[in-house]
Amino acid sequence: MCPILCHKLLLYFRAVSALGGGGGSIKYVCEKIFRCNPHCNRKHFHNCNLTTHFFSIKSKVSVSCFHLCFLTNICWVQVLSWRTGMLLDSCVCVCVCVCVCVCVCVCVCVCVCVCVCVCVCVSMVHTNMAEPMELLCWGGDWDLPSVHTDSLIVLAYVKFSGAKLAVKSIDWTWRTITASVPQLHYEGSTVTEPTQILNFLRKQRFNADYELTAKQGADTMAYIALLEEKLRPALMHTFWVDAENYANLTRPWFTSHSPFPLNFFVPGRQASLALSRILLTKAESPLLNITEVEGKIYSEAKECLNLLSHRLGNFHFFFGDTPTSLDAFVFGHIAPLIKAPLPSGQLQKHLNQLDNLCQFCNTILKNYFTDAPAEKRMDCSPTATHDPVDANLQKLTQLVNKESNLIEKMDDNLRSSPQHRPHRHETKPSALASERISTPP
Amino acid sequence: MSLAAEAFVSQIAGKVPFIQVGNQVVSELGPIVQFTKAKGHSLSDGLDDVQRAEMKAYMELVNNMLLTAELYIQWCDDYTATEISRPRYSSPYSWPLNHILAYQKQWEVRRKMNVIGWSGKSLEQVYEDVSQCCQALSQRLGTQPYFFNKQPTELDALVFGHLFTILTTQLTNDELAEKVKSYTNLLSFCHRIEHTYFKDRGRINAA
Repeated sequence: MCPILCHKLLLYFRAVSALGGGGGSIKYVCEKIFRCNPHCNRKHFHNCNLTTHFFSIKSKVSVSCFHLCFLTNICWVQVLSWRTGMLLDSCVCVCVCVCVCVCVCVCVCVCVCVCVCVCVCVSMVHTNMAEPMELLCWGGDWDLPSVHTDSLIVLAYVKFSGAKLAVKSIDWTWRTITASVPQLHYEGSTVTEPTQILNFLRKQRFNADYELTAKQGADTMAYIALLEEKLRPALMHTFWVDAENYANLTRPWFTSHSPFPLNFFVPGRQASLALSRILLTKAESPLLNITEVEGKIYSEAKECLNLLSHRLGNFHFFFGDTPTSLDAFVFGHIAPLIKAPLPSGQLQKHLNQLDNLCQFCNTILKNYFTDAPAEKRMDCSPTATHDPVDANLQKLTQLVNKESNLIEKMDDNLRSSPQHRPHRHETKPSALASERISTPP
Repeated sequence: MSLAAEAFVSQIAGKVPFIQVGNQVVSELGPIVQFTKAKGHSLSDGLDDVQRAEMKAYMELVNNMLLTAELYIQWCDDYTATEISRPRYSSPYSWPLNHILAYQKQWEVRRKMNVIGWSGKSLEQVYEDVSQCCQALSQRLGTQPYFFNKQPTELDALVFGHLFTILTTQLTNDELAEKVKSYTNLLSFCHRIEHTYFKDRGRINAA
C-alpha cells in the first residue's frame, strides 16, 4: 500500500476516533496495515503524528467538520440515489472537492454553511427533476401494449389525454404477485383501479372528457356499467376458466412472464379469482356450478357487443371525433379479445363479425400506439370479407338469434312462427322448387 | 309492506317477484320482461337500436350501482346489519335457523362485495357513488316525463322500484334518502308514477 495513502487513512481514522466514531478497532486495523507496509518507517509515522498535531492545533474543529460533512454528504447522496435510482457519483465528487477546498481555508462557519447549501441544492434539483408519474402494468404481446384489460384501459386513457408518465412493466418481477395492477405512483401516493386512476388523472388536468356534455357523461357511466356487468364475466371466462384457452394460451403466457418461483402461483391465483368472481356475481345460488352459468354469461356478452356496435355505428369514436374515457374502456375490453390467438373463442368469432368494433380497435392501435405495425390492420377486414352474408342479412341474423333465444326459453309454439324465419330459408324451398320444375322427369 | 318494497326485499332474496301464467312460473325482472315480450307486450318496441342500447346500459348502471349500494348498506354496515337487516331477514324462522341463515346471508353478501372490490369502500364513498348514479339518471331524465320521452319503458320501472324503496324503507339514518331527494326531477318522477299507476297504495313522505 502506498505510504501516502496509509498516512491519509491514518489521519482520517484518527479524526473519526476523535469524534467518537469507529472507536479503537479501526485505529488498530489502520496501524496494523501501516506497520505491515515494508515501505513505511518510523519517520513517516512521526511525520504523520506531526501533521495530525498540526491540524489539531490549527483547527481540530474544522477537521471534524470536514469529516462530518463528508460523511453527511455521502449518506445524503446515497439516500437520494436510492430514491431517484440515479447514480450520483459526480455529485459526490463535487461535494467532496468543495469540502476539501473550504476546509483547507480553515474556515469553520463557511465550511458548514457551504456543505449545507450544497446538500440542499442537490436535493432540490433532484426533487424537481425526479418523481414523474409512474404506472405499473402487465407487459404487452399480440400487438397490444398490454394483455391485461385494466392496464389497457389506463394506457389508452393516458394516450388520449396526453398525460406524461413512465410506464413500468411488472413482468418478471415480484410485483406479479404483490401488486394489484394497474397502479399509479405519484409523490408517494398510490392509486389503484382504473376508475380511481382516471379520476386522479382528471384532477391532474389530464382530462379526455372535457368536451362532453352532462348527458354524454351520464351515458359514459351507463355504458361502463354495461361493460362491467355483461362483458367482463365472459372475458374472464374466456381467458381464465375455459380449459382449452387457459391451458394453451393464458397460463403459458403468464408463467413465462413471472419470475421463478412465482410462475407456479400467479396464473392459478388469477384463475381462481376469476372463477370466484363469476360464480359470486352471476350464479344465483351457491348450488349452481360454472357450466350452468356459462350459457347465460356468453349470451349476455354477445348481446352487449351487439349493443356497443349499434351505439358506435359508423363513427370513429363513441362521442364524435375525439376519443374519451368510454373509448378507453371499450378498447381495453375488446382489444385482447380481438388480438389474442385463442384456441377456442366463440366470443371472438362473434366479435369478428362486428366490423365497426374491429375497425375501432385497429384505429386506436394505429393512431395512438404506433409501434403496432400498420399491416396488422388487415386482420379484421379479411375475416369480415370472408363472411358471405351481406350487411342487411347479418343484422337480420343477429336479431333472429336474439329473438330465438327468448322464444326458445318461453314458448315452443312460437318457434315455428313464420315471421321469425330468416329470409334465406324462404329462398331455399323456392330454389328447390324451381329446380324441380326446370329438370324434366 | 308496500308492493315495491316487497319486490325489493324479494329481489335481494333472489326468487321473487314472480308471475304465474297457467302452469308456467317466471321469476325475476329480466325473465318476466322477456316473457311478456314473447307474448307480444313490450314497452321498448318503439325504440331504435341506439336507444335500446342506451336503455340496457342505464339498466345495468342501476343494477351495478344502486343495487350493490343497497346490499352494501344493508349487510356490510355493521350497525344497519345488526339493527335492521338480520332481524328482518331471520323473522320468518325459528331459533337456531334464524341466526344461521342471517349470518350466512351476511357472509355471502360480504364475499360478493370483496370480489367486486367494494369491501374497501367506506360508507361515505358508497353514498357518493349513489349520488353520482342519481346524478347520471337525473341528467338523462332531464325535464321529460319518462326516460325515453313519452312512454314508460323497463328502465322507468327499474328506476322507480329502486328509488321508491330507498325513499320509503326505514334505515338507521336517512342520508341515502336525502341524497335521492336532492334530485328534484327524480323525486317528481317517482311521485308521478306512483300516482299514475299505484293510486291506492299510499303516499311517499314529502321532503
